[in-house]
Amino acid sequence: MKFDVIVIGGGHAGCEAALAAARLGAQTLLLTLTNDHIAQMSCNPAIGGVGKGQLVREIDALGGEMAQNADATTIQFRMLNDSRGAAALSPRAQCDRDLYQKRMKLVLERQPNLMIQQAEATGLVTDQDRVTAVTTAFGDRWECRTAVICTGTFLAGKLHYGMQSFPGGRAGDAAANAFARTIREDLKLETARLKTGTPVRVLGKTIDFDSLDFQAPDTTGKVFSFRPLPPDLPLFGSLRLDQRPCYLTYSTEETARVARDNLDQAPMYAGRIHATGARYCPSFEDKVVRFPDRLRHHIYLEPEGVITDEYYLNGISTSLPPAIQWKLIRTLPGLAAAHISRYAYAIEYDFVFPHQIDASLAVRRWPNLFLAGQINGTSGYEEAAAQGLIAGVNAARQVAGLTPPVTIGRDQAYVGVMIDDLVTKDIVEPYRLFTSRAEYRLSLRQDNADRRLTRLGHAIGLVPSSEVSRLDQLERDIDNAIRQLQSIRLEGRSAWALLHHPDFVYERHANLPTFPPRVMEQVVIAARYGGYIEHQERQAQAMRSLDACKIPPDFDFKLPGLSVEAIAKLSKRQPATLGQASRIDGVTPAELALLQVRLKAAQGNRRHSSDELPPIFPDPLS
Amino acid sequence: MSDHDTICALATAVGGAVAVIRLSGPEAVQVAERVWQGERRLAEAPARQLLLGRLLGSEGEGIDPQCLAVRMPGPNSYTGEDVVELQCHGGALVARLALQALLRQGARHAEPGEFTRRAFLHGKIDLTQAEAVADLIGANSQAAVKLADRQLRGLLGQRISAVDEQLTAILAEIESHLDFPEEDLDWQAPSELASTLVELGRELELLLATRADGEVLRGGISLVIAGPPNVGKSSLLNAILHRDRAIVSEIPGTTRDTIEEMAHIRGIPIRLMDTAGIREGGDVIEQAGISRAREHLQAADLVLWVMDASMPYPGQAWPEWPIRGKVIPVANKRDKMTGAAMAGLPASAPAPVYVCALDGGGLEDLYTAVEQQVWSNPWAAENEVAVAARHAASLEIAVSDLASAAPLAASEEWELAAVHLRSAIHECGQITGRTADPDLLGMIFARFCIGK
Repeated sequence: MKFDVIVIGGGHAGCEAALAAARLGAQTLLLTLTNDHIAQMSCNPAIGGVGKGQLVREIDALGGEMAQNADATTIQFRMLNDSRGAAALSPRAQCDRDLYQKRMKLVLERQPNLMIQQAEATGLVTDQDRVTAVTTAFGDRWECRTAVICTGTFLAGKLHYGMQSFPGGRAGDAAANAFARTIREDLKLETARLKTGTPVRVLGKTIDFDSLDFQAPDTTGKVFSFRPLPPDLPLFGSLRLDQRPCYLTYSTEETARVARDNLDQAPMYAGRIHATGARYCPSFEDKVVRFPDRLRHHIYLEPEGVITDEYYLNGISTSLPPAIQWKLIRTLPGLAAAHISRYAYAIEYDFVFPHQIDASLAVRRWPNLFLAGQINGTSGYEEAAAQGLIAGVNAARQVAGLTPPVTIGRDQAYVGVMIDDLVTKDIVEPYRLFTSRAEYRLSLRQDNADRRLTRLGHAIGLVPSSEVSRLDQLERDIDNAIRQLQSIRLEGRSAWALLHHPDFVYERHANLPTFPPRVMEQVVIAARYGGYIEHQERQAQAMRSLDACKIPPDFDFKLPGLSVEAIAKLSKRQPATLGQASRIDGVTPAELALLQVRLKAAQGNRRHSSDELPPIFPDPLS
Repeated sequence: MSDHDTICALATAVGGAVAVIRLSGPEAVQVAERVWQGERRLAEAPARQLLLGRLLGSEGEGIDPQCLAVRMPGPNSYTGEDVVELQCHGGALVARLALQALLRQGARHAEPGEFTRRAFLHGKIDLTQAEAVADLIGANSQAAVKLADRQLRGLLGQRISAVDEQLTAILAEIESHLDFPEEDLDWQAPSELASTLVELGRELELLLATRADGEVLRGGISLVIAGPPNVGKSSLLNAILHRDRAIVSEIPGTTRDTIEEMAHIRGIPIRLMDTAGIREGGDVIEQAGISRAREHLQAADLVLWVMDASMPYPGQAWPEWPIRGKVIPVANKRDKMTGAAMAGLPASAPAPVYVCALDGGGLEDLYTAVEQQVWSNPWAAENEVAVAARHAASLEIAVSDLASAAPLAASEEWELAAVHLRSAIHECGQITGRTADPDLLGMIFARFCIGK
């Protein structure tokens, strides 16, 4: 059997890749180790968060599934940073872990053009620079025209519980060792190890909730998706699950002491793990070592769902041995009698250095092979899903002979910021999206993701025209509202001008017109941010002009005047624009200037040969 | 370490008694040894010691029997790479033939500014220091040399970098408010952040305030001597120049055209202009000279308005048309002065400086008055640094950004404060070259001559 696109791995990246490819008409096969673990939330039972929430809404605007899947299974929605400005707001939802998986599985199963099979991919068949088939542990050989690899933490995955370690892709799942070898040896891709970890789960009935503070669910009825949920999925179409609170506790001096006393049994400190973990997501023992003076760290107890009583302890991920984990957890207020239902562990796994892919997520030396998710060195469900979407789209486009591939700019979306970072920056720890990574933060907001990306999603073919019509109407309403406010005089100025001031409270002026909430929201942000966005734009001008300067694909970076380091990095990454080159770590401004000069000179080549007399001015012989 | 190819260039002007050829790059020593032969091999000779040898041309023929060579190994060299300098006989051809031989042996001819650019590239100097190299070469006064020297020592760059570093630390804190809202991090009070931003803005303002002085030192000022006829303007010009440049006579209207000379007053580079005495009447040529005088007067940075102290003030003209620059009234012929001759000057006019152009009396007072008018403050000439127009443009933006950022930080509007902070940090980087965009760097290094 032959498929247009074979997606290897059924996690958050794999689901989006498979759905996008199938929705664009490609005959798609999703291979996964266990069908029941499709779209598994391996770590915290939440979608979104700072930077990530923006990403989820971008995925939605581009026609991806994650936002709707989260909305259908949300048990608590919160807008993070809700006391801050619009560009800081980040939606996050606690979701029911089981239902999230089950709904996504159902969406995949019902998707036309998409087949699912529970099988371990063990190898890739190649012909020259193309991948032509995927082989499985059952001995099947599925021919393919393109492939998308979304293997998450499974490539040569190894779990650490204290000084014990086991091969595995996740607690309860086997590792993909044969495929890891294929990536390294058959595809000859440069790989290294990264590390991540997950905390304990405890049983609710053993927690003293009465002694804990709690965070109530948001009652505003906000959701991720800009679109209504499709009504035709049984159960999930209009499902509103019971909303659940999160609880808050904190580590004590005693917790820190337990961690400190047992550092010799922490694999990271005992030298058993050589992979790099993320600085922004430290294990509890890391926190104790790095911030010895801080004894109190927040720990959130997050419900894992409505048909489970397990709680996820956010903020105390650890790879200390199970025996120590009991001591550690029971020092926490409210958890003195807590029962651990799943131990915390660290996992290390192979990733592929993303300098080997381009902005379409295709591998440069294997142009019909795409990589998405943790295999590219990222961390997080949302980062993975966004890459999966782009990889699936580009795989399907390649099959259909559509050019160019879809690439997204840093000025368009967080998706673009992330992929550009992946192809230009050195990965030294699992990559996570932050709002501070975006030069255009004020414009890349969660509230306007549809205004930024719906048209692109439609042009790609994943978003129906009804969404574009909705957006057109919204844009007209916003324009009209602004025009109306400009014409209304109040205290000697236009209502529009007054709206620029942070202290102006619109609702206090009874004679001002009322607009639908979405329109009003966009108008207020436009007024408040307008001047700042212009300022941000001026700063970005230089970057924009560098991004516009293309570098030919065959350009030879071995230029006199460039350092060996810069030549190596530029040759390795083959940046497509001067802008990309400028963001490569280790390329200095002076080297960039040189590169620019050479690019210009490449058009009209003019150099002295050593046989001519060198120019000296003024020329003494003339 | 073979970071770059090896470049060479003539470092001295053509036609001097001695020519210096400079090589820089990983093969500087090997290439030099192919055209220079001494008793000892250059590679084995002690570093930074002059060795005598002979210079060979492209075909291995001797072209100079006395050529000194010195090896300066990187990273402790000008460019940070291995550097060799060859000092041979000057004149028109020897150095040129030697260069040709070096090119045949594998060196590449340096582009203008390439040695300095390599120093910048290797982190030996920042951008302000690279600019100071060009300033030093182009300096036309002692004060300008001193300024370039201080900038080349990195004094300007260090002050900007210090601000840059603090701003970056504050930005990191602001970003952590946005990116880690649920972590209980140890945050500074917003009001503290705001007041630090105000302080840093003040430091940049201090630097910005040196712009006028920087312009004076780098470009000099235009000083016009003007006034009624026969008050001794040309005598004053001659006195400042210490030579008889202008024809001087008892006849009013002797100077008919503008005379222009370069001079220094207390280290300040000055374009000195003597103009025709301004009066009604006179012939066509004199009137043409007078109208030219008026034009110069209007464009001048500084005007010495000369009057005759031996005559009563009423009756003497005071410039009435709009003048862009500052005016110093000068009462000449103080030796022939009777009583309080200059009493009755317009109330707005500063007190005149009394001089005698013929015996040089009072000239020191005049120079002090010039200094006072030129420098933005009394100690400016001793200023640590003075910024150039390029720096000032960036500083202006950064100062205004910090003024906006401080209240936004105080009110915890972090995402907006961050926009201004990022802009200010970018501008600091433009000055030192940490973030400078390629067009800017191209422009800066284009100012250089080959061999620097």
